[in-house]
Amino acid sequence: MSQPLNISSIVPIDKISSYQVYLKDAVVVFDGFKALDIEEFGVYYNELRVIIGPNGAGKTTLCDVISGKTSLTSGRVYVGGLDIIQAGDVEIAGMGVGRKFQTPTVFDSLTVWENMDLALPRAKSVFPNLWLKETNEEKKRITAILERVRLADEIGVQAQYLSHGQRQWLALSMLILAEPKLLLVDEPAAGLTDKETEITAELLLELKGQHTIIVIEHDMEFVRRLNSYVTVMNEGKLLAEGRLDELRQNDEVVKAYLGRS
Amino acid sequence: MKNQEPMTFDENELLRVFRKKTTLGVLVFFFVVIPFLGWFGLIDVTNINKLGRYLCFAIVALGIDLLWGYTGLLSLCQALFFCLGGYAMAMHLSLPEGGGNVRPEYHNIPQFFFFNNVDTLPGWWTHFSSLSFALVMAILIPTIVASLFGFTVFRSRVKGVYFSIITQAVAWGAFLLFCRNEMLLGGTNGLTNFDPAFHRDFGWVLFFYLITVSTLVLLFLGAKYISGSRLGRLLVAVRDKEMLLNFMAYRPQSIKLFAFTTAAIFAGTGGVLYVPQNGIITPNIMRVEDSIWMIIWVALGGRGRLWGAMAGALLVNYAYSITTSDMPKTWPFLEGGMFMAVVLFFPSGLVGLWDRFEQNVASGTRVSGILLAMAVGFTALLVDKSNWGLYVPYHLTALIACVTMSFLVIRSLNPSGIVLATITFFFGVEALGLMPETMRITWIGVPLKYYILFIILVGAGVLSHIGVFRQALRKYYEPATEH
Amino acid sequence: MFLVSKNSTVFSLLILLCLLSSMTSYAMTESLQQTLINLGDPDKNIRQQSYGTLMKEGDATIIPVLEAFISGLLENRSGLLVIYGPRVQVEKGRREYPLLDAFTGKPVLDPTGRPIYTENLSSSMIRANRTERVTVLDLIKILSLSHFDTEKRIAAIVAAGDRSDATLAPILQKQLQANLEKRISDALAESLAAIRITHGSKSEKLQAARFLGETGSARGALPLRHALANKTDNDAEIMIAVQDALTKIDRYQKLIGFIQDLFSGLSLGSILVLMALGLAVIFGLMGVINMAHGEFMMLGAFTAYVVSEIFKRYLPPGIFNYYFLCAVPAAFLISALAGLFCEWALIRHLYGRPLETLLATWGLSLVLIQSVRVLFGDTLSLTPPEWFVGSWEVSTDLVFPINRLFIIIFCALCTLLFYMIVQKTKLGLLLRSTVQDRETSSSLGVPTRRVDGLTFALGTGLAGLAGCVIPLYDKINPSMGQGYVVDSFMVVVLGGLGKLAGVIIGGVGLGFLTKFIEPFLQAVYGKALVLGMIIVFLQWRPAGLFPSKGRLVDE
Repeated sequence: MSQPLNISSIVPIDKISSYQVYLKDAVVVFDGFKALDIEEFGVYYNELRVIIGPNGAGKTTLCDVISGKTSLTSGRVYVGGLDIIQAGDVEIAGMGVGRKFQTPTVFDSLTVWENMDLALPRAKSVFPNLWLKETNEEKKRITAILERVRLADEIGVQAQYLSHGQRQWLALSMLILAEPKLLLVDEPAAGLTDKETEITAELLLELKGQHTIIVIEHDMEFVRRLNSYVTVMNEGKLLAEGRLDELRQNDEVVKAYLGRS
Repeated sequence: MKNQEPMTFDENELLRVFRKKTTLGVLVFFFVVIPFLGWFGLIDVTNINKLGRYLCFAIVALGIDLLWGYTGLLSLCQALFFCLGGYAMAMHLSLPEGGGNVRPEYHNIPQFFFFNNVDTLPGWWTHFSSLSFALVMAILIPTIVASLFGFTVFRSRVKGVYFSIITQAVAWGAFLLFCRNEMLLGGTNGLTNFDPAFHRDFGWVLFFYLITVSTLVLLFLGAKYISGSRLGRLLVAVRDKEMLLNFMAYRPQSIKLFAFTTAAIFAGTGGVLYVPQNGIITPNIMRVEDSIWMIIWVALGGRGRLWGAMAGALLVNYAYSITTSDMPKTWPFLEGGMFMAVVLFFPSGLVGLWDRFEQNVASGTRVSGILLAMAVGFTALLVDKSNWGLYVPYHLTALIACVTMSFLVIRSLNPSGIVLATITFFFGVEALGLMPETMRITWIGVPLKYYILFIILVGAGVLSHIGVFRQALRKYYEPATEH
Repeated sequence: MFLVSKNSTVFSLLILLCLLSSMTSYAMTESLQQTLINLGDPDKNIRQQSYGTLMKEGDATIIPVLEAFISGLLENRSGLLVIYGPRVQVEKGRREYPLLDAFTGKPVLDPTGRPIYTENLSSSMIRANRTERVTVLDLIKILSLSHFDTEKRIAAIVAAGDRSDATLAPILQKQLQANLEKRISDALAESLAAIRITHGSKSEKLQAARFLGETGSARGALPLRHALANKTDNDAEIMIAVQDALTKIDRYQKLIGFIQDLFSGLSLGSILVLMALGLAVIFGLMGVINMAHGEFMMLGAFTAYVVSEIFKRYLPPGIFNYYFLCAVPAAFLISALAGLFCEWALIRHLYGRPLETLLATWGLSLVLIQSVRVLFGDTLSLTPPEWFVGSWEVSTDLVFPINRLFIIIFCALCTLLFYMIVQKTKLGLLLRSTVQDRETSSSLGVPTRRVDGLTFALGTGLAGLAGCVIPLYDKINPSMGQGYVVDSFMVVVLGGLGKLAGVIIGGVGLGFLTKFIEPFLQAVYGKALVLGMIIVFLQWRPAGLFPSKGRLVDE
C-alpha cells in the first residue's frame, strides 16, 4: 500500500473527469466512530467494480456517500465529474445514480408490474404522473426483464408475497430498468440459491461495459464469476485493490478476513 | 397496514357482474328511490336532510382515504379544512344576498357584528355577497392553507408521527383563533341565521341532497382515477417505502403535498355542501376531536378502498346518531371501544367483511336469498309508514317478514352475508326513520333493537365458526384417525 | 422613616395588650350593647345619641353588627340582638340564614341546644336610612383600622390610603407609632404617605414621595400619578420628587414583573416537563403515541381527591394535611398500574404501528374520561393541605405562592429521581438496553416483555405524579388532561428524543415562552404564536433540540 503523501485539498482535474466515481480524503465519522476513511478511490466509466471486505468495513457507508444518503464529514466526492457534496439523494438519483439496497427494498403493497412501472426513467414530478401510462415500448422492456428473472408470471402479485429471492430480483430488475449511468448494487446474491446466483451474475455481466457498476458482495464464487477488478475494504479504509487471484495471495487481505491470529 | 387491493388481473366474471349490479343498485337507491319515497312523504324531510349531511361527510372521508389510506399520512386537521370551506359558504349565507336573516335594528348585517360594536360590514366580508366568490374562496382557502402548511412541513422531511402531532397543534391553534370575537366570524357562537328553508323545505332539502350525491359521485370518480393512475401508485409507494422513492429520483415531498392539498380540497367541498343543510357552523366542529372522529369513519370503513371510506362515514355517523339518542351516557364507551376494536381486530374494516362476502359470491354461493330477505323486511316496515297499515295488521306483517327473512338468510348460511344484511337493514331502517315503536322498549337502559342486533351478530359469528367446532368435536371423538 | 422613641415602647406595648385582649375575646361592655340596641330605637334622638357613643367608645368588635345593620340583616328579637349570617345549605335544595348573637358572634341556640336557622328575613329587621348608612359606613371605616382580623385591618388601612382620606391620618399615625407587626406597619406607612402626598405640607410631601419611591409598591404609584396630573402645587421641587419616585417605582415593578413571569413560567413549565418526561419515555423509548397520556394525569389528580376524601371522612381531622404524603405515592401507583394494564391489554399488540396506537389510545382516552365522569361527576375541587396555603412575600409586590413553589421543587425532585433511576439503577439499564436493541437484550436474558410493561408504567406513573399536584391550585374535572396533552407533545417534539435535557429545556422553555407572550397578546394568540414558532423551529431542526440517534429516528 502506498503511503499517503501530504493531504492536499486540490484535486487534479484529470482525476475528476476520468473517473465516474471519485473520492478523495473521504472521512465519515458517526458519534466518534470512523466509519469511512478513504484517501483515494476511483471507478472508471463503464467499469464493473466489486467491493469486498469483512462486516463493518464501511462498504455500505461508501455506497451511502455516493448515493447521497450520508454526507461526508470531510473530504470530497465526485460523481460523473460533479462535486456532489451539497447534493441530496433525490438530485443524485436524478443525475443517473441507481441503487439496490442490502435488504431488497421494494414497494410491498404494489404488484410486481406496478413496482417496475415506477422504476421507469420517465417523468418524476407529480402532475404528469396523473395521466401518463406506459407506452408499448416500455411495456415490452418491462416484460423482457421480468422474463429474465422469471417474474413474468407474477406481475399481478403484490410484492409482499414474493419470496426473498424474488424480491432481490425485483429490486435488481427495477434498478436495471431505470437504466442509470451508475449502478450501486449492494449484496445482490444474498439469500439466493446457486442457480439464482448464476442468473444474477449473468444479468450484471450483460450490463458490463454499458453502465458503471459497483457491486458489494460476500459470496466469493459470485465475485469470481464477475471477473472484475476488486477493491478490498477493512475498518473503513481501502486495504488493497486488484484481481481476485492476486488478492487471495495478499497476506493483509487474508488476515483481515480471518481476524488477528 | 396490509390492505387487500382488488386483484385487477384475475377478476372473476361472476364477481364483475355482481359488482356492476351492486353499483347500479346503490346509484338507483340514492338517486331514484330516496327522492321518490321522500316525495310521497314516506321518508321524513329531516331524514333526507340527515342523509345529505352525512353524504358531505362521505366526501371528506374520500379525501382522508387518499391521504391516509393511500399515502399513509394521518392528518388531525381535516376538520379544520372542512370548516374553512364551510365558513366561506356560511359567510355568504348569513348575508342578505344569500338569504341570511338580517334585521334593521342590527344594521342589516349579521347580528354578531352588532354585539361586537361593528356597524358596517368589513370590506373583506362584502365580497362574500356573491355566491361565486364564496364558492371560489371555499375551495381556494383550504388549498392555500394546505399548500403553505404542507410545503413547510414536508420540506423538513418530518416523519409520519411528528406530522400528526403538528397537524394536531395547528387544528387546536386554529380553533382557539376562530373562537375569538375579534376575528369577526361569530366567535364561539359561529355563523347562523341562514334562510331556514334550506334545511326545512322539502324542495331545498332535496335540491341540496341531490347536489351532494352528484358531487360525491363526481369526486369519487375523480379519486378513483387518481388512485388508479400512476400517481396513485406513487401515493402507496410513499406509504410503503418513502426512502426508496428518493433514490428513484422522485420527490416524496411533492407527492405528499399533493395528497395533503387534495384531501383539504375534498374536506372543504364537504364543508361547503354541509353548511346550508346544517343551518349553522361553529368552531366546535374544527377541533382535534372532530378530526379524529373523521379518521375513525375511514378506519372502520376500510382504508385504501375508496368506497369503504364513504360507507364508513355513513355507517359511523348513523351509529352515532342512533346511539346518542337512545343511550347518551353510553356513547363515549362505544366510541372509545370502537376505536380500540377497529384497530385491534378489524384493521381492514367493513371492506374486509365485504371482501369475504364477495369471495362467497365468486365461488357461486347464492346470495339472492339474503338480498330478497332484506327487501321483504324493508317493505314490511314501509307498510307501517303508509296508511295501508290500517287495513293490514302491522304486527302480523312484521312477524311474517321476520320469519321469512330468517328462513331465507339461514338457508344461504353465509355468515358474512348475514352480518352485512343485518347491519344494512338495521341502519337503513333507523336512518330512514322507519323503526317501529316496539323496538324502543328498554331493558337496563338499552333498547330492544340492540339486543336483537347483538343476538344476530353473535349468531353469525358462531355460524362462521361452526366448521371449526365440528372439526374440534371430530378430533375429540376419533383421535385415532389422525395417525 | 417615622421614628418611635424609646419612651413610647412601654406605652405602645400596653396599647398592644389592650388591643390584643379585645381581639381575642369577642366580649362587649354592657353600655356598648345597650347602645347597639338603641340603634333600632324608633326615637330619632336616641339613635343620634347612640351614634355619638359608638364613635367615642366603639371598637372593632362592633363592626359585624354595624355591617349587618347597614345590610338590613340585623334584628331585635325581644331584647336579643341577632345577626342573620350568610346563607348555608341546610339540606339538599334549601338554603337558610343561620342566626348569630350580635354580641358574641356565636350561633343562637334553641331550647334543645341546636342552632336556629330561618328561611326568610323577618319584617322587623332594623333598617337604616341613607344618612345613617353614610355615618355608619364612616364609623366602620374608622373602626376597621383596628380590626382584630389582620386581613380586614390591612384592607381598611389600604382603603384609607387609596382614598387619600386625610381625616384618618392621625389614627394611622398613632397606630404606626404603636409599632405593630411588619405587615400592618408597612401598610400604615404606605397609606400615610399616600395621604400626605395629597394633603400634607411641602416637607411632608417630599418625604412621602421619597418613601413611596423606595418601597416601589404599585399601589403607591397611584397617588403619585394623581399628584402629577392634578398639579396641585406648582412647586418644582415636589414635582421632581414625585417624578423621581415614579421612575423608581416603574423600574422596580418592571423588574419584579419579569421575575414573576419567570416564576409563573417555571411553575407551568415544571408540570409540562413532568408530563413530557412520561410521554418521552413512552414515545421516545417505545415508539408509542399515547393520546391518553392526559387521562393518566387525570387519574393521578382524582386519586389525590379520593385520598383526601378518605382522610376527611374516616380519619381524625388533625392529620388531614398529611393526606398529601399518601396521595403522591398513591397517584403514582394507580397511574402506573393502570398503565401496566393498558399496555398488556392494548398497546403491546400495536408495537411498530404508531398511527394505529394513536387511534387506539385515543379510544382509550374516551373510555377513561367517561368512566371517571360516570363515577365522580364533573368538576371537583380539593382542599390543599394547610402547608401550601398562602404565599411568600419576597419583597414588596413580589409574591410567590407557596403551592407553586412546592410544585416547582416537587417536579424538579421527580425529574432528578427519574434520571437517577434510568441512568444509575439496574432497572434503568435494562430499560435502555431493551429500547436500543431488543433482540440482543432478549438473547442476553433481559425479560423484554416485562420491561416494556414497566417502561410504559413508568411513563404513565410520571403523568400521575404531575396530575396529583394540579389540584393544589386548580379545580379538577374528567377532561382536564386534554388541555395538557397538546402542549406535552409539543415539548417532546421540540426537545427531541435524545436526551433528558431536551425535554427539560423544551418544557421549561415552553412555559416561559407562554407566560412571557401572555402580557403582550392574550392567552389565545399567545398559544397560537407559540405553536407557530415551534413549527418554524422544526423547519430548522426537524428532529428537535437533541435529536435521537437511535433506531426510532428511522422508524
